[in-house]
Amino acid sequence: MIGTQKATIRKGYVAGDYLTASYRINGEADLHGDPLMDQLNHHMELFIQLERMFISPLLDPASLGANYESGHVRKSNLELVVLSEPESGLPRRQGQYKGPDHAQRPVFLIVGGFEVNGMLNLHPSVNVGNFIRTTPEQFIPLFNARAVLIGHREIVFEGGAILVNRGQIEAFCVLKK
Amino acid sequence: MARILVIDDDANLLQMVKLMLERVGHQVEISDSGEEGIALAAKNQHELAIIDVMMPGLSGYDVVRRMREDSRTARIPIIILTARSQPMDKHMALEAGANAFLSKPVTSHELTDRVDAVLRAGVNYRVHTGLLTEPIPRSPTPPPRPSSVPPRPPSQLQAIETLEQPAVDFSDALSADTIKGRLPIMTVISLRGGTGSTTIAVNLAFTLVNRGRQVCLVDLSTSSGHIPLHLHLPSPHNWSELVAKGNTFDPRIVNQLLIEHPPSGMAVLPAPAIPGTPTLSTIATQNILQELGSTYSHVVVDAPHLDSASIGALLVARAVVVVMADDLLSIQSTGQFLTALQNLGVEMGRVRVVLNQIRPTRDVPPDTIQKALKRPLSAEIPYTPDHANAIRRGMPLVVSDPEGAYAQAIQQLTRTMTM
Repeated sequence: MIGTQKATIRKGYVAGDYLTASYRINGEADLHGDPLMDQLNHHMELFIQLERMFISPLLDPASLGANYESGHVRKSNLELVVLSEPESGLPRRQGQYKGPDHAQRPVFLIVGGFEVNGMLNLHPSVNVGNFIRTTPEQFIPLFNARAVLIGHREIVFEGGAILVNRGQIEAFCVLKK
Repeated sequence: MARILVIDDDANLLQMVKLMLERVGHQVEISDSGEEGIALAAKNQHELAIIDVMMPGLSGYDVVRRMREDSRTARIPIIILTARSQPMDKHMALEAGANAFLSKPVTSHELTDRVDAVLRAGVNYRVHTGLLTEPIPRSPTPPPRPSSVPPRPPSQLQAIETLEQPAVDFSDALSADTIKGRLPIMTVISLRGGTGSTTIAVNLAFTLVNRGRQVCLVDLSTSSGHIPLHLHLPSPHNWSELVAKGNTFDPRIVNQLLIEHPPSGMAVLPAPAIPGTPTLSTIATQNILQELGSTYSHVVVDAPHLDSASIGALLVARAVVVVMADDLLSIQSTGQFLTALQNLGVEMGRVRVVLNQIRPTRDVPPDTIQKALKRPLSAEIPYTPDHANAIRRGMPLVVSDPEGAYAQAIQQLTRTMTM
């Protein structure tokens, strides 16, 4: 019991790296009952609110630039959202991306300035290409994913889940296992 | 139990960490700001500090730097605990002077294990994931050496001679500092045969390939190199052709000698298959590695003997992996070899000692080995009977069984080497 106890950020919040074309914005999203994926895919909200925001230039992502108690990020301008825990990347209706009969399908995407490798966890009956092209959701989760900044390959983001903004995808390939 | 300072602006996390540490008997003092934390550390001389990165005002990195600059707090080991968990964040924390890096969320087991490991290792060591420990390089930017290398003191040759290796002339060798920057080279070496250093070199190379790096694997063996066998590669050419040309260096010839491993795209510079072939000179080896280092993002060198070619590879490598087994002969030769490396001018911060478990049973426990060597082991590679199958299939274990304990240990070792 003691061993499984976790020291984490505030309960009801999830920390993540929100990557735009120019910035790494680290912040905590208030889940207030809605998982982050559902908030990102909420069509009526253009922005997502973050607390404890720390902003770094994307080309110097480890530096700590400005910090603010709270702020808002335009969802459509996000390229990727990097989360450390895979569970943080699941929507409320987890069945689409999680299940005993689901299979991990490796994919490669070019998203804005990033090359992203990761796993889409889908039912084997789902055609991955069709899914990425036609799912109505703006953000899709890649699990155990890795994003490399093109032109600055030393800048790498890794996460249990990387949420990809489909609107920013330039190309994608479904890889063979 | 230790007196520990925790600095974090998140009151809930402060209380949770305090509770976790007090449960195992530590005395914990907390602070919610960097300024106050530094003052507390200077006043109360804690045995360990745990610091968050993202705090308004003074960031965690600033706190670490200021503590390291203040003689009253410079000797306090520091663990960074942060929600920023990317590789560059860890690098930044360690560069700032922290001894360990933990990302949130952290379980109480992970926290207390890391706290115990850092307390044990002390302020001069970094403790990585898996509790692997490495010494902190004393001088990250050593003063440049003069371009003409002065004659080396007799102790260097003596150290080599004690290892019963033929003394070699490396007076024309370039040190790592005289070549432009450090080359992205990992030299894997073991002075005792049968410790699995070639297998480790092959698996290290494939770990890097799996991470999308462009890798060249160089076999410096003079007793029938085995790397082509590991990969089921034909080796129509090898570096002995350079020796036959009088150790002259021509980048075009070097590139012609390389063979490609088709599935991975990795380049291999094979060794001659016939044992007893004269080896490359130190300077020729360094020129070859310099050329390969400028073409490939990583060069992994399998250097099985302390001969002139291996010395060249050791001097220019950014990381030296010394592979040993857990028997007395291996411990003795590794201890002497570490002394020889120091005398050669290889800084110990570049050296990783790796214990490769080549038998299913243990001979000497790792703790005893660390005491005998007077330095921590950077990695313990577990025994696996699957190597024979891996060679039979031409597929290293990090490719065929990436989740296996062997592959995980190799990946862990790779992570300890900042390339």
